[in-house]
Amino acid sequence: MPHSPTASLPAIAGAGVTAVEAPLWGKLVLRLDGEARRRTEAALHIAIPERPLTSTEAQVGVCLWLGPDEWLLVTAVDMAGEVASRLDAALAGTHHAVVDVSHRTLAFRLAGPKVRDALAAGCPLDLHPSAFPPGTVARTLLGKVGITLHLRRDGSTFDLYVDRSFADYAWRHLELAARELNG
Amino acid sequence: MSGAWRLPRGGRVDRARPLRFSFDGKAYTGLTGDTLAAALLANGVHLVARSFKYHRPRGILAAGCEEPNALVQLDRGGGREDPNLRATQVELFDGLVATSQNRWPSLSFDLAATADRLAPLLPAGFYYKTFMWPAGWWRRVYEPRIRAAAGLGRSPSRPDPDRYLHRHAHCDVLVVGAGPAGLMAAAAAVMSGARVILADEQAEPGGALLAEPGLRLDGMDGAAWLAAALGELTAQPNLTLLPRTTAFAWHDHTYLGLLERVTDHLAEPPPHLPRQRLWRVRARQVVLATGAIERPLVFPDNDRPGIMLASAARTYLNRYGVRVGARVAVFTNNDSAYATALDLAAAGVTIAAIVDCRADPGGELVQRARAVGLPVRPGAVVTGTQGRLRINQAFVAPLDGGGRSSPVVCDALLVSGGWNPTLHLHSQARGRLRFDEKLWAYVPAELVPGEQVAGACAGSFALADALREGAQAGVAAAAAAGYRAELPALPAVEAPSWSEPAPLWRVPLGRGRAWVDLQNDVTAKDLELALREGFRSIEHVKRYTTTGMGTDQGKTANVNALAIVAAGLGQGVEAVGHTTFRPPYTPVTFGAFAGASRELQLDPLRRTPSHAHAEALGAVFEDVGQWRRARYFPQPGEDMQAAVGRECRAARQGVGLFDASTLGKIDLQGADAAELLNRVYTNAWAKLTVGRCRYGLMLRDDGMVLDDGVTARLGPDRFHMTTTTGGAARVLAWLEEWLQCEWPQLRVFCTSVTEQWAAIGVCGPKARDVIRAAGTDIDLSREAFPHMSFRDGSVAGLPARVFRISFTGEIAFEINVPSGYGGALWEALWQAGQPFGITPYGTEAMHVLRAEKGYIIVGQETDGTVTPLDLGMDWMISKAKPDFIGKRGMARPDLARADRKQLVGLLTRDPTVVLEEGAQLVEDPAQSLPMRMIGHVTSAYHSANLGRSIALGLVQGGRERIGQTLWVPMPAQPAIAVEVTRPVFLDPENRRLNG
Repeated sequence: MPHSPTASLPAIAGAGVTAVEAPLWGKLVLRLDGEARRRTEAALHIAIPERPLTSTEAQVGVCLWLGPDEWLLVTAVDMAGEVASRLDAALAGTHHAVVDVSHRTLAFRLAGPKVRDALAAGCPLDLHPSAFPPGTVARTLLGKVGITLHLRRDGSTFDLYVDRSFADYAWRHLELAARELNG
Repeated sequence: MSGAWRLPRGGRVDRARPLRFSFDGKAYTGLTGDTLAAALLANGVHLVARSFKYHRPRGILAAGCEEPNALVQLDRGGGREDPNLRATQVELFDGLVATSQNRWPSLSFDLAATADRLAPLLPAGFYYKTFMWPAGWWRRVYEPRIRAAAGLGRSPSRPDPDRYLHRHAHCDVLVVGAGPAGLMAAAAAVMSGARVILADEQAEPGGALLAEPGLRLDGMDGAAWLAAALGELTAQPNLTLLPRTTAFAWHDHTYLGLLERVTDHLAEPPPHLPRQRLWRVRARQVVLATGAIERPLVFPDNDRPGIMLASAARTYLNRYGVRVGARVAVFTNNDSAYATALDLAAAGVTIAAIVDCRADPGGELVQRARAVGLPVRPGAVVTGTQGRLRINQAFVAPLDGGGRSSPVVCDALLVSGGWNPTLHLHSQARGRLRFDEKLWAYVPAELVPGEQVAGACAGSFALADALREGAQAGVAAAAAAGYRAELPALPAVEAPSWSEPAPLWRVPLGRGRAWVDLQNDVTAKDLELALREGFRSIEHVKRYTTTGMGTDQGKTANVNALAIVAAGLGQGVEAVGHTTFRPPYTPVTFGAFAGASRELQLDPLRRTPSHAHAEALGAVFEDVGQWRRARYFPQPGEDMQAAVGRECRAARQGVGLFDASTLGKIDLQGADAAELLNRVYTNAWAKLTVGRCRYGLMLRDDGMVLDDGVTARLGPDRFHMTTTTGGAARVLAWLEEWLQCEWPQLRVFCTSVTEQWAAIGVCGPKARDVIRAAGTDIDLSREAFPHMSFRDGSVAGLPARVFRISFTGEIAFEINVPSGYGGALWEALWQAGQPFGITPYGTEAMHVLRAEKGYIIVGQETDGTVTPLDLGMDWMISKAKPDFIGKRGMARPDLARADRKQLVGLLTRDPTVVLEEGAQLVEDPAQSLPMRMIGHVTSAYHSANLGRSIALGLVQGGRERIGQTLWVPMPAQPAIAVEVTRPVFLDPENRRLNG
């Protein structure tokens, strides 16, 4: 079992907001030029989002827009290696990078009616549904650490991605905010 | 009973819920809904404070945040101490313990009040004039004594046990102030669908509606209309109502800071709530409906307890059901004070006189006062008062000077010098002000982008105007934020109109000191003295006299001071200008600013995947940037030197275990990756074969060392770069900057993989034995796996990438596994290493081991002014490459000087002496001060392996000095003799490394 840095921290659970550290997911950073992007779509049967701050979903997983030529592909953990090999083969000759960051970056799954308030204790972005609709992805801050925030298609579940050594800080930050919201 | 001065009915207090509290140790009873000031007044307590400088007895002046006098210290126990709280804003709770400040031994008998008798010796600027000689006394004698004598409350002495949080918020319209104007603005905006935040500093929204019973809106009294309006507003999901929330700062681009006092009003704050919350609001539009603050009048002895703003007395009467006196005099230059007099008279208070400086006041309220027989004294002023701890008489005389003054017996004197629109936020937003000579007040000269103003803060004091302007502002704000808003129906209003005020900045009659700034004890004479001494700018006058400073920032004092200065200069008020408004509007706790950033959450604390294992082995940790790294692993009875010595010997003679996970790691991919390395490192990379590693030195463009590390070639177009722990983020940003800004044609993608990999080093002659014992499919033999290469495989059943690299000069393998398995790898190596005496070592031993080999640490041997040539690393610089970052910088003639500081070894003559890092080196220790310093020590350790101390240093022309003796002068000790040597102390032939 890979180690979880939040396992020994206080739980975030209650009527207002809940958070769990997701089991280890496969995560691949994709850096793709135009040709590589087209070949990736064909190889993985997933649309690679072109519009900033958006995401797509397909059988293979969830693809999060991170930058003009940068995405995070989230898959099942046991698929990451295989997907990476498939991509490296399919993308031969193109300008690309496929980097396994499954262990670098961890994910918290947050939900509950007050989830936006909990995040707003440290995240400066406008998380109102009118400004942050379902599917939105943003790289932002939670307090003093960088995070990637993804509102899933259900419009009520946030996946918060944070690098491993910052997970402790991020979790405690959320827990401090959640105490009030969970009454 | 909640005080003898409480009315039997009326007010917004709950007579069924009395609250016990104490002030200066004496027990009192107040009511739920009271402020501390209201409860004290209900108990007849007017004397609540001593003034800052002269320790004069002071009472409660105001009923809101503008209060200059009534500052108290609250102690809730357990470290919950707050100095300088305005009693007028402290909401009463059961068991509240408040004390007065700045007095000894007691409030009614304060020994320091002798300062008041010395007042002629302590004019404005007396600090600068009196305490000049002897010069050395200022810091040691004068300042400590002055600080002890003057001042406000006590700083808390214990850590604050409360929690504070921040909240980021975004809205279309932020309405500041929930009085009539703000309520209408919020209503208009919210109906358009805009996201609205309505913030009000008081416990209850309503503003003036809470204290003015005579108002009627749509046939309802103010309270009933307020309840209905609030009910409708708060039913809207797009409205956030924030009571007890002060908008204290307006930053650029309509970004405002709000302080919400979440639990300050509760006797027992529930543990799940933060005490206070700092809101950081990004608003598209801001409606300021901040109201106005009444001005006091400047006349002799105008600072006695019992002298109060007329509007405050009205608030205490109508909102809290408290009479501020039994026989009350009123002194005014405008109509608003008449409303107070009428309300008080209706409550059975005797009005001793209404002294109005206007010769012929004729407004509706004046007529009403006359009609009910209140003694109006037109054309008159108060020329002085009497009463040591509370006013007992005022002296009234005709303003034209044509008559004698007559005493008016009273136990309270209510003053009104007109109204100042509350424009602090407007001014913070860079909004200009205009002095209106009808209102005799500053009003907004223009709006700033994103701003609307409405009601009293715009100079519109009539209720109907405030409601209309509020609605218009709400509509305008919503429209500007992109919503279709319609003007809501305005309530029909019955409210008395006001006639014009007359300017009265200073009563020209009477003797005695006339106070302008009550908090800082500044008199009208002090201001005039400053002018006589040549001060002209209002900013200078402020700083010289301290008027407008302090916790209240002159909310009641400033405009009077400006006008007095203007008169003294023979100018108009506007020509004098006004001092700058700066955040915060009212004081904000440090806790609120810090928010969650304290203790463990002060800064991210980064731990490596095997942290818990190091902890279990008794590691002592050190902070390296945000990382917490194991420094050494003491065994029972060992000090640091003993532990480090043991760890260093083990790493050279047996086997050591080291956590290198914090090193920066960057994945580089692309057809031009090797070219990028060629450009950012000083040495050549094109010919590095797949599977091999190379050490690289990175320079800034000025030729100075930026970072170093080992980079491995994973494939033809793929590299794995490592950086220093502290340089990881900097180096990635550096690469991206060059790729994105200078060399966009290079096809390279950089990805941080620092945290993807945990890296555990196994070092020493028995390293192979341990890894084999842990289980591996990698051939570790010298032939199959030479120094500076890597292999993929498995170690201890984990997928691993093993680098054979060394920062110790020993055979060393750095085993990288996905970071979730870092702890498991450490544990497996630790167990497998037991038969071999495996010894975990920390950063301290790592530093010693590398220094024995003369390996540099960037940031220790370098400080941003050191070139590779200075370090003797010429061999790292490719002569063949046409260019690399820093090549031209390094070619500057100055960097080729022979007398630049160069890296050398330093051996003390006495081998037991360990030099101090940073110590300076000189040629002649007998020379006179200041000595000519020719270098400094960069690293110094006791080396257990060498049985003596070693050091590295940077010395002018150092390589030429090898063999010379230099000296390290030490304070209060004889200078230490050192021999300059080559910087490699152990195995210069690298036999051990390649073994």
